[in-house]
Amino acid sequence: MKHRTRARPSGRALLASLVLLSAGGCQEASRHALPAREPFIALERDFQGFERWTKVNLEARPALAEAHAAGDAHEYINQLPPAGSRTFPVGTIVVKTMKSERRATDAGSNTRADGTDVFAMVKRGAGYNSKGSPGWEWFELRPRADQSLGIVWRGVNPPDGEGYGRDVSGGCNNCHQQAENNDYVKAPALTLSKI
Amino acid sequence: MKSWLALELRHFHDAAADLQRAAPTPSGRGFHPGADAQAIQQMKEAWGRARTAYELVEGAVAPLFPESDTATDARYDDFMAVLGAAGDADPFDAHGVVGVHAIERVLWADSIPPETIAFESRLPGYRAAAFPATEADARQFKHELAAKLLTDIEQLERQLEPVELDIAFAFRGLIDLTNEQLEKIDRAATGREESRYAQTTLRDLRANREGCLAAYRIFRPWLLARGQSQLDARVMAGFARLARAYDANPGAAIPRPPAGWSSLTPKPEHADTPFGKLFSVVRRETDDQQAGSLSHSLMSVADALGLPKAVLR
Repeated sequence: MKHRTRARPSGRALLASLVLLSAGGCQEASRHALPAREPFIALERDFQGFERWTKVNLEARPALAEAHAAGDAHEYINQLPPAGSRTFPVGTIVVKTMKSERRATDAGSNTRADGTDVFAMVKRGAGYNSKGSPGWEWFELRPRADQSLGIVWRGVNPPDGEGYGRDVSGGCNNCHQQAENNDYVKAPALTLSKI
Repeated sequence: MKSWLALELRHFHDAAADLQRAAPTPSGRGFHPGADAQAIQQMKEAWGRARTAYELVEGAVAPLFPESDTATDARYDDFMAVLGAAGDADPFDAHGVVGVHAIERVLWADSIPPETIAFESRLPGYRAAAFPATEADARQFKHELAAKLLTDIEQLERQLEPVELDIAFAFRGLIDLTNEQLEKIDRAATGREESRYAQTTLRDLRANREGCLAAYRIFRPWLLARGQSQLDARVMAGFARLARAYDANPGAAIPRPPAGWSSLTPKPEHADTPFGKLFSVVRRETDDQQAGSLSHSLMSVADALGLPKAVLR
């Protein structure tokens, strides 16, 4: 399996991160190494502490009012891709949190009491989701009382209550396919050609 | 937990291999219920072993590998929802409707319950189930449909092999295995019963419970070592209640839901039917908010062991 070390960054790595920072419009350096091989099958442990990852500038939000509800949103990435990448490396995790008044009033929803939704996309690789957003696995996460994150659902799309046989052209894939040229990642600050 | 998952997937594989080996390829004709009775019985027996092996671990494995789960275990209506009006023109090849239930639909083609036909015949693209009618059909069944199941199980095994599961996953798997039982009985209530052609969904449910109990046994020594014998007794009592509910219905078939059944608001007159009783017990035992239920007790196990609780939809 893939090991994701959390070693202190070397001076060279720190410099590389600073270069990426200036190029990518992100606000914090990453300290997370990516797994050595695919597929990368994320477990709950891989999402913990995501708020300490590199923060993505969300001034421009192309998905606003489409799939993701309007409201205070934040996005984090565990590791920016190397400059010149045409795709995000296997092991990349992008987490998005959204505060939504609509969801906050939705009794019994999968949200915190303050109405925060947490979604993630993980580059799993190995041909996963080949008919939707190749390589990417979708997640909804929810903080527990101790603030650790648990996985609510995962898959090639959100569950529809049937478990399988879903039309992979809908849900997460349908919207993220609009960013096919950027490896299905929509945030302008994560545009591969500008990193 | 991983070694147990891998072992049951191997059993799944071996049974699928036995099924494929037993598939006859008679010269100049397809399957004949008389002439091929022995081979068909062998295939049905192997199919039953395959089902039991996968149902033991499905609740834990499927969320990690949904594409493999679809390839091996999706139902006819799941596939038809994607195939649409074109349907599956060739039920014996390795495309379209595939997996254990596609094979089940062929093997039991001459004894499908009328309510199953009524349900499926309303699906766009529906075609009636049938035995392989020609030599070419029989060869296709053996070398494509049955072979694909084997290939897909091997793919599932390869995917699991490098994954380093952790304790949070293991506990989540335990809860998912519990909840699988409610999902199964809920589907049966709406005509989407899992093993609907062989009429063995109750056997699937028993396997789900056995799988859940096997997963719990991974945690049990740890719990007992912490002096939590009373909590362990509550958990085991929950498993026993489920076993009694399943065993109250003889055979492998799930009882028929009464006409007008509603899972959301069961009518009082339906509560005492065999299906109503079974549904009531499974729903209660899988409700983690219901004090004293199996799921509630399992969540208490997480607290007692300091494990992250499963986050449920």
